[in-house]
Amino acid sequence: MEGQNKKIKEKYENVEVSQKQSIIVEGSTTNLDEITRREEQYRALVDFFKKDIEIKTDLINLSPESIDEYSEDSRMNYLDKLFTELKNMEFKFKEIAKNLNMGLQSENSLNTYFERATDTLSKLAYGYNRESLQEIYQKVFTDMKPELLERTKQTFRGYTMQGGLKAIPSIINDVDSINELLHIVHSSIINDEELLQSMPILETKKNTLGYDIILYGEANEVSKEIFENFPIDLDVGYTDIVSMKDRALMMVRDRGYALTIDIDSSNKGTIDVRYFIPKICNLDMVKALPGINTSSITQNGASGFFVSKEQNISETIFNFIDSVPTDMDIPKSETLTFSIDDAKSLATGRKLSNIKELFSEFKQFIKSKSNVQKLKGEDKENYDQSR
Amino acid sequence: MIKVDDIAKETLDILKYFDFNFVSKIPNNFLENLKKISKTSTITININKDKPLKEQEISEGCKDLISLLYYNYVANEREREEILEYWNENEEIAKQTTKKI
Repeated sequence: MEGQNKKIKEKYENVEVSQKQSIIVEGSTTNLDEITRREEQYRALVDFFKKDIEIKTDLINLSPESIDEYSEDSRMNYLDKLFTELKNMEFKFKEIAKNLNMGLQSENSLNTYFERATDTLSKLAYGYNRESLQEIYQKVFTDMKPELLERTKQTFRGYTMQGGLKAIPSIINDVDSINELLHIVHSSIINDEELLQSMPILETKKNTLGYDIILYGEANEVSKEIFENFPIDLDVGYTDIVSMKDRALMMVRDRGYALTIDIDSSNKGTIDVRYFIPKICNLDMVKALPGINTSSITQNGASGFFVSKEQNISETIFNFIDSVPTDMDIPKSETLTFSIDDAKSLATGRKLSNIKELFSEFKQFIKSKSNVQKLKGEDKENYDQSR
Repeated sequence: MIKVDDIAKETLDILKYFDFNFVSKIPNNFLENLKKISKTSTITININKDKPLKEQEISEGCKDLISLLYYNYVANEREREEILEYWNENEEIAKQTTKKI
């Protein structure tokens, strides 16, 4: 550590004054230990995204081909490959956990997960039911349960107690496939404001409401442009922009509670933007957001994806943030609310025959409407033919 | 005679006063169908902010539809069994009452 500190000290003594000043946050100074810690955190984050891509590529490459089912030998070879890859992925995830200081509980929960995954693979591979290789591959490596996606949204959100990395043990027992594991680890990271704020600070400014807008990490063209042009009169709370070589993560407080944006600039000319909104606030406004995945909208939040041109990126991002509803956009009618319990209480007072009759009437109504439409369609055809 | 379009309209209007937790569980395509069905209805509902849901001046058909939405889209397995029991019990009680009369 002493040798390392000496190296860091030498490094910083040789940098230009303007760069040194960029490390000093208004009202406080960072010491060498803190600089080291922040740099290590940054390297761990960069390493996670590198492994994220590696694992996704491995998952695609692992997909079985028809030739793997050709004979008993080819089947066994493929199954051996699955066991080997599972072990490799275990090493990768454990390295991620160690680098990011996820803590003993998270590391133990990963151990338990991989024991379970290996056991599942063994039972599928060598059990009585001869599962197809495709099914084995999907169950252990790629399946994504909708209920897990929903629980992930519920578990990982910024600015909540136990909402980031610490929450992994609380959900990992629901995880079956590697894809699901990667998804929860990814969500835990991008929604952990403490983690994001532990990165090396590059620049900081305040908006008109007095909240810090901070750029962390290693500036790239996109993140620099976003930070420098970030309107200080845009109605947001604390905003963190963590920049890496081809990526920037943003967390914007007070928009949808704690909006997270993942900006991937690795493709030349276009930029992939993924986002997660933990709190809906206003359903109509959320439904109108660019690239919103309407089937993802639930009480636990919503997610979306769109592609932007590189030259428009900062304007696109600011317009997008401005469109995300805040608590002020919660419709007034929602203050008079009937709850789920009110509906349940109402339900206990009904009679079966009335419910059945209502259901039947609706069915008949819909059927008769579609018949009328069909007839109208036929009439139109006849009319067109007669002309 | 059940006026399906009126019930659809009433239900859609009252759903605006429901907590998002309930409405979000109802599939979008079902709500779209209700909107289509309600187009021919001209009724309006008046919500009394001082009264709970059970005491609101809404039709029995609307109450049945909200109950059905809860049963179909919100209730878990155990709750569905309980609700079905209530529906059957209420049916029996109503029959007994009619016989006595």
